[in-house]
Amino acid sequence: MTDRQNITELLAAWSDGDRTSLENLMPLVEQELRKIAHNYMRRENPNHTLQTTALINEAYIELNNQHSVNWQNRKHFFAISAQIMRRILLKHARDRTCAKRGGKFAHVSLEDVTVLTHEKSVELIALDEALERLSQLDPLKCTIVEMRYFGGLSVEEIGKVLDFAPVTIGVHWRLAKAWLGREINGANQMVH
Amino acid sequence: MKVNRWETVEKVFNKSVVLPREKREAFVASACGGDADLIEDVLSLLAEADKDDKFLSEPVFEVGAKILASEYIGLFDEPNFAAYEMQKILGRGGSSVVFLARDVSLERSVAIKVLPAALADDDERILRFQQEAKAASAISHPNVAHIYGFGKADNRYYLAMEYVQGDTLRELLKKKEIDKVFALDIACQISKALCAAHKAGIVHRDVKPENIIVADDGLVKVLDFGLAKSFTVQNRETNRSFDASLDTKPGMIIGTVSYMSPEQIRGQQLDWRTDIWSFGVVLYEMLAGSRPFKGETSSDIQARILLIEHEYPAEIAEMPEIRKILDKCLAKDVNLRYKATPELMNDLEIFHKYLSYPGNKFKYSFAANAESGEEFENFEAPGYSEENPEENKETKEANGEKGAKPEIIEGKPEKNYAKYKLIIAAAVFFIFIIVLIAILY
Ligand SMILES: Nc1ncnc2c1ncn2[C@@H]1O[C@H](COP(=O)(O)OP(=O)(O)O)[C@@H](O)[C@H]1O
Ligand SMILES: [Mg+2]
Repeated sequence: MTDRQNITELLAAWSDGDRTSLENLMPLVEQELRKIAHNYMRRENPNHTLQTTALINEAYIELNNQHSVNWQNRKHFFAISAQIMRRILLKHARDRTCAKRGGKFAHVSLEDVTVLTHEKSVELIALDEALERLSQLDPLKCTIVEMRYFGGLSVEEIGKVLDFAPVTIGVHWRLAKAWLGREINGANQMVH
Repeated sequence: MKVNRWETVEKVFNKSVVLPREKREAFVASACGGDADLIEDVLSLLAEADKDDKFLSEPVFEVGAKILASEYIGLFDEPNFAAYEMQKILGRGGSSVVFLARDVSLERSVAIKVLPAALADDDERILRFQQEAKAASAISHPNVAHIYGFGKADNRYYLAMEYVQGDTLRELLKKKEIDKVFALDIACQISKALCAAHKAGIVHRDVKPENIIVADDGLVKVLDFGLAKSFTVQNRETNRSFDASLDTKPGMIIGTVSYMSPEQIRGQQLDWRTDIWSFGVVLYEMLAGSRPFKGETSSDIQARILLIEHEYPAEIAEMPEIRKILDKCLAKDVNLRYKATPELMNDLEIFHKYLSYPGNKFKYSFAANAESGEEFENFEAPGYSEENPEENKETKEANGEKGAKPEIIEGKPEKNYAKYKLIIAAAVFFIFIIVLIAILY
């Protein structure tokens, strides 16, 4: 209960420019996402498509008082959720590509067990690095990519959350994708 | 300064990317005022944008959500059982993991399906797990993975079963194309498992490639009776052991959508014929390489299953007998499907034998033909001729039918003569017309 009140306050503080509240916010949101993702998995089969917005919305509603759904907070919430996903996936991608792992079953091939394949992990790491550079150059594009790729939101949903027309989001996306693609391919060429 | 440059790049890129390709270069050159670096920058981005690749096309959100959920419930935590030594992970489902383990006392390999400790007091999940154990152990059949036991240890519920060394049908489908003889062989074995289940009064309700293992020796095993349910209403004894509260309700979807029957999507009462539908989807996928009902989202797939008639690609269209079998599996109206699973099994066996021994004519009773009245019929499968003895030998051996000979019956001679008569009559008539034309001119 206190956690939830906390979240609303932390979200508010964060949107008011209090950067430190983000550090406190992340683990709380993450915990809530875990719980909800788990409920989804229980209800449905693994091969089932998780409805992204449904999941994040549910987390948001859980964390907020249903009566005071604040669009500003909501926007931050979606951005944070996407960032959490990015961080979690990256951690797994690094584990996956790293020979020595702490996990008990690190010695067996977990190809069909872990949800990330080796290739996908390598791709993710390269993407993460490129995104880091993009965020220096154009933070809005970085957020859009995060929301779409890691957060699983559609162009329309991102438009709603960020308060832009979907076309505008599409225009940003197109350039961001081209820039990231060039960045990653360029890096590959240099390596070989 | 750098930011300004990026703004220029963005502006020029956005304006040029919508132009026809041949006009872009000139536009970029003039818009960049001859700045060679800038031109190169924009052109390389345009080239990248033109690539029709899959880059970033599939969001990884779902993968992340699965990781979150798995971690949350400690899905992959290794259980500490005295009786079994865990060796490696064989596979996973939504809320369970299957380990390869060594039975310490019997000194044999077993597969152990375990629920995570986090679910040790989730009554619904435990009940379902228990029901799975009961259903699977009620069926004793070589094509169903054998159950050794069910219990709880180290605060985890587990199901010990026969370890099947091989690939799931999903893995096989991903790896390589399954040729039609092999596909029919697999299909026959699945249908036998379903016959046994249905005979025991159990509906599987989750027939799909992930739940079928093809062992390295070619033996097919149906797994995962996690959604199975008894349908024998008359048989109170059996019914009592299955909890009615686990029935599917409309809107509450369990099971993968692509293989779900229309009645399953609607949340209606299910009987064995739902398995016949799902089986049809699996058979279709093995032969066509893709599923009969596809869509971007699970809602699109569901809509197609409910409303759109399936169509056949060339691979299937050329085999009319298979089309008939599939039509009787994928009939949206349950009453138009196979009435009994043995009928399906029989049709599959006949066609499988036919494919395995090409060039022979079979006289057979095809259940799929019953309605149309063509009870007996001769047919010849295209694509399989005696010109290819090597291939036939191989497939025969792969099917483990080295010695078996199917019943060969000559086709009805009257029927063939009738055909020839007609052809000769047509030829005579044709020649007559030509002669007539020649005379007239
Ligand atoms: N007896 C077994 N032998 C070998 N592998 C198995 C066995 N049982 C399950 N598996 C593997 O584990 C996966 C998940 O098992 P399953 O029973 O289908 O779990 P769930 O009910 O969670 O879907 C299967 O797809 C298969 O790869
Ligand atoms: Mg399964």
